Amino acid sequence: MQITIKVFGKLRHYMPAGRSAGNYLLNFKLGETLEQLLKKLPLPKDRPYLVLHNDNKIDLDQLSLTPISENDEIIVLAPVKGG
Amino acid sequence: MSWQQKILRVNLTTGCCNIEPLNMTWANEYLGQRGLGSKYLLEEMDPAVDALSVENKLVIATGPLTGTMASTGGRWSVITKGPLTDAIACSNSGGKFGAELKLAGYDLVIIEGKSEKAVYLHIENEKVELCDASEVWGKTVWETEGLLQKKYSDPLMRFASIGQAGENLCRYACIVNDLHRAAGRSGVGAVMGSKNLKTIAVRGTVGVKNANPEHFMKTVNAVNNRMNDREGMSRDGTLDMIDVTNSIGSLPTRNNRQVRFEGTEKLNPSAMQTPNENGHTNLITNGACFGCTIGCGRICKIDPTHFSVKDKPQYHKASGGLEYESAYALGAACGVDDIDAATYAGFLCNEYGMDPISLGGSIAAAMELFDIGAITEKHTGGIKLEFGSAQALVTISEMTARSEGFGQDIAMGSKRLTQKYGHPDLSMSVKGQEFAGYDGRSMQGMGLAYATNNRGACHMRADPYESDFNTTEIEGKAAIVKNSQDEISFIDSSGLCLFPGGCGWTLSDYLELVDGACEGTWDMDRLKQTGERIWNLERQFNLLAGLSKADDTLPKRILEEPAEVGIGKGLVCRLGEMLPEYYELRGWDEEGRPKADTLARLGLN
Repeated sequence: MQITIKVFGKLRHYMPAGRSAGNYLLNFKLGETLEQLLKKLPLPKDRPYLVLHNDNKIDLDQLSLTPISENDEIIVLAPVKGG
Repeated sequence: MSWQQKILRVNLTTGCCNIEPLNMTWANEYLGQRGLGSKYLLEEMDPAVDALSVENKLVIATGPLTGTMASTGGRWSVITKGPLTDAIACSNSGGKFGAELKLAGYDLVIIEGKSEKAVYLHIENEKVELCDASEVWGKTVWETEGLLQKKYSDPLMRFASIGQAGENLCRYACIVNDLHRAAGRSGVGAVMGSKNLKTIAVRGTVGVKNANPEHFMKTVNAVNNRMNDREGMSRDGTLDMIDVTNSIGSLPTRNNRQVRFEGTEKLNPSAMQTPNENGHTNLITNGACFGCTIGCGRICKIDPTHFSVKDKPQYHKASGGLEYESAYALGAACGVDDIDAATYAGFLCNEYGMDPISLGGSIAAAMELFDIGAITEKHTGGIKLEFGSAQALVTISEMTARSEGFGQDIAMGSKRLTQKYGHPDLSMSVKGQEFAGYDGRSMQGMGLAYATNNRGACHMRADPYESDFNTTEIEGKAAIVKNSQDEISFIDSSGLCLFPGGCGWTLSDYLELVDGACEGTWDMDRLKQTGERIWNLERQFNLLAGLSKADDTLPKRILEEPAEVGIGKGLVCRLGEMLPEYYELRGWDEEGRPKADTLARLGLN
């Protein structure tokens, strides 16, 4: 199955599709968790990031306990500041 | 040391321009720029004066690192009493003007009195003159700079000017330098306009000296190498933020009725960088201020076929484009998802000299007044001022810039506008200054920062971002806000920009640069105490101006109407719980007044 994941903020630049898109399509198997899904992204290990799952913020220690389904909305953000 | 140790005092009433020594005791206590300018203002002026009266003063201030080789060392500030807020105003800008002023030999320019006729100030090192401005009064910032550039035939001359908005005393008029950088907030341009001062033109070749240049350059290089994460800012500018705030539900939309905007994908960095159906791309390149190694500025072009500029070739050139705050204010706040319309309104802000945040916030408030029927097409001169209307945004921005019709009401700012039409609760402002692009319900720390900021609602005077993105719980927010306010007060007084702090620099990097540039020893304790002293000095100014605890608040909407979506879903801002803790941490009494021992500790009594 496939799922669309949105990556925003500075993290976008680590994604293979380049800088002009925020949506990425990933393959996943039923029963996989958010942690397993996020491991498929080429994100740096040393950067803080924020995960939203169906509009709920998921603490990083809860990623391995959060199963994903086909129509879930998943957003990964890097905290930024200023404006 | 990197201070020039000189002040230029310009009395517009008498026409006298004098060079005076800088008070070095104050420089050592307040560093420069924001802190030192505020100290001079409070020492020399009664804070209770009317902001637009002859008694108000305008302090143009550089910092010790302005004009040096330090990265981002091009910052300068305007300190005065703000006509939008009736509080202390300190508006910070980049570009190249500030560095040029420092290179001309001045730490501060203090402008007082009022000229009988329109004048501009011309500075070339120690040669200083007030000149007749009749040929540029009534002109835009861009026209003014072009005419004076031609007159002096010096491509390195820098200008800080007001446009017609400043001349017409728009409450959020700004001072624009280098065509599209601005001392933007609180209406400092209206103060300049009230004094009949159009422009400051400066050329400097004196340079900035340092007691130990070899050591300073080693420090500059070492600190520069620690700026390791600037790619995102160079590529996307601050606009990167819009997807983040929209995702978490903290993007103020339609005058904060909502916290998420469905049109964000038409305003975000991808939209700016992707060709539209005509093959036109909004973003041309990025731009940098003096000495900056980040380059967050956006240089953009409007699609020449867009309705806003179709018959206006003068707007077909590249100029300063949307940043996060202008995209929020001229986009989401008004419910407008047309990137060209918002870019055009932003161009008008640079051209006529208006703060895009307050312009957008005031238009958004007017759109809500229109929506509830408090104003009609009879008031607006036939404009359907509906949320989401790009045409209305464009037309009302033009009318405000030119002080025409209902534009004169928009130019009052949202506080006075909503009061006039009987709905003061619809002004999304603090102390009369419109919100930046964050909502205090999903970002509780930002709510406290807005409420307590000495210059009214603002996103640049505290750093609760990381904490707010991590949790909506309020525990610890008061300390984060208080401590970061003090640290930022110091950085704002140094001549450096805040953005390296988001690109790898820590507070220690700023400290190392200040210590390398200034005499004496600057350590972390001194840094924090200097910042705290500056914050409390500004607070003293505001209390003497007549502000009180009652002004440390937020609009009813943020305190009583829960957010509908995002990480703040179901929440209001818990300001009432955070404020007492904040006052206690500050060493203030229950009414928000600094206690005697706090003042004594900071040398403010």
